[in-house]
Amino acid sequence: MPLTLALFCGNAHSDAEDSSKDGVRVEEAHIRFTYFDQKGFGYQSQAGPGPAGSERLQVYEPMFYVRFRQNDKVEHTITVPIDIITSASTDAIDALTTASRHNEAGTIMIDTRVKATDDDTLKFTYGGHGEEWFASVFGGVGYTRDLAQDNATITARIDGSFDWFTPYGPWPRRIVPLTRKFDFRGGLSGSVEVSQVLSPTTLVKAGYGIAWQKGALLTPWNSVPFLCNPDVTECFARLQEQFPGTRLKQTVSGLLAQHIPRTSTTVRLSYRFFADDYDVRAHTLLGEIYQYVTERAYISAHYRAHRQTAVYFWTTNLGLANFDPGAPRTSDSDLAEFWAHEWGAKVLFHITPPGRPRQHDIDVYFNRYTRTNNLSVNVGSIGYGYNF
Amino acid sequence: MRGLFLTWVAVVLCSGCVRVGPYERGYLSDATMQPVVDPLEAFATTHLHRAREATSGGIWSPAGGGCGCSN
Repeated sequence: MPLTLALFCGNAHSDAEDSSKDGVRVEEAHIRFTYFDQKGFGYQSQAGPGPAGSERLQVYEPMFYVRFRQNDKVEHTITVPIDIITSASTDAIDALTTASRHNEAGTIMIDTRVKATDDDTLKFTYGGHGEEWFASVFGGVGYTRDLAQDNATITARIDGSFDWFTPYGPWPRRIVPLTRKFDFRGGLSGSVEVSQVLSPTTLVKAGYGIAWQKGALLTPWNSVPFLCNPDVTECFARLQEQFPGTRLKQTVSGLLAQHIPRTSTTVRLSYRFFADDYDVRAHTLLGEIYQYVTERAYISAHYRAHRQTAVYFWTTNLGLANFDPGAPRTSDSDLAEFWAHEWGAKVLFHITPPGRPRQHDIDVYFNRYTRTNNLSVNVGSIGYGYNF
Repeated sequence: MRGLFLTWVAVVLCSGCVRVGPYERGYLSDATMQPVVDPLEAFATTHLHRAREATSGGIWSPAGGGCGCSN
C-alpha cells in the first residue's frame, strides 16, 4: 500500500546527464584522527585490581577516505581506518610477554556505486579487517530505486562477513582447540530502507534490518568469575566465557531531518530499536542540531541516550547450583543492562567558501560517552576534507 | 516490532505526495541534511557504539566482523 502511494506520486523520472567524462577523477578526500580515552571496570576483565577488572583503554585512530569517479555511471569510495590500541584487559591473556598490551588493527572498505539507469543504483561493498589475532572479510550488495522524481527512495541490501581466529596465547587455554589451527564465525544481514522528502526542507527515513551470526561469537580474553563470595571480592577461579552457536538480531530505525532556513539551523532526530534472541532489548534516541554561524562555519551538538537489557546468560558470579559447564556464560560489561549517555559538540569551518571547487574543510569535535555500569569514554577528533 | 516498522513506513510514504522539484532542493543538498553528514565521523562514532554496546548489526552495518568483541 505505501509503495503504491509512492508510485502514484508521479512517474519515476529524473534528469539524466548526457555528458560522458573519460578517465578516473578523484572528487573528494578526507583524513581524520580520532583519540578514544576509556576508563572503567568490568567483571570480564582480569586486569585488576579486583574481580571487576580494569577496562582502561586508549585508541589512536587515523582514518582516510577518498571518493573517485570512474565514469559518469560508476564511482568508488575507499575508507581505511587504523586502530592502535593499548589495553589493560588484554594484558591478562599474555601476562608474561605483554605482547597483547598493544594491538594494531586495520580495515579497508570499498564501496562501488553503479548508476545502472536514471532511477536504479547498485552499490557493492567489500573489504577486509586484520589485527593481532583475527582477520575478517566482508561484502555486500544493495539496490536503490528512485521514485516520484527522486522524492522517495527504497533500498534493499544484503551483507555477509567471515572471521577467523588464530591460536592465541597459552592462558587460560587456547581459544582454539589444539586439534584445530583456526576457529571461525560468519554472519549474514539484510535490510530494507525507505526515504521520503516531505518538503523542500524536510526528509524522513525508515528502515528494518535482520542479522544472523554463527560460529565462535565469544571474546577470547573475557572471563567469568566462578565460585565467589557474595561481595565478589574473592573467587575460586575464572572460566572462559561461552556463547550460543548462533545469534539472530533485528533492528527498526528512523530518521527525521528538518532544515530551518530562517535561522540556518538543521535539526535531526533518530531512533533505533534492537532485539535479539539473547533477550537483549535496546532503545536508542539521538538528537542533533547544526547551526550555521556564518556561510562558512557551523557548530553542532548532539545528545544520545541508549538503554539496553542484558543477555540472558550474563552473570558476575557463577555458582555451583545448577552449574552446567556447557551452558552459555559471560560477564562482559558491554552485554550487561545499562543506560548510556553521550553528548558531543563539533565545529566545522569551510576554509574556502562552499560551492566553489577545491573546497577545504576542517573540523574538530569532542564526545563524552558514559555508561551507568562504570564505563566512560572521552573522544577527541580532528578532520580535514578536500573537494576537488 | 514489525507493526512499529510498518506504521513508520506508512507515515513516511503517506505523508503526502509532495513533489519537490530539482530547483527546490538547495536545502536538501546541504551536508547537514544528508543521511550521513560526515562518513569518517560516522565510522568512528559507530565503532565506539558497536564495541561498547550489545546492539551492533542489522541495518546499516554487517553483522559481526571487524570487532574482536562478542557484540
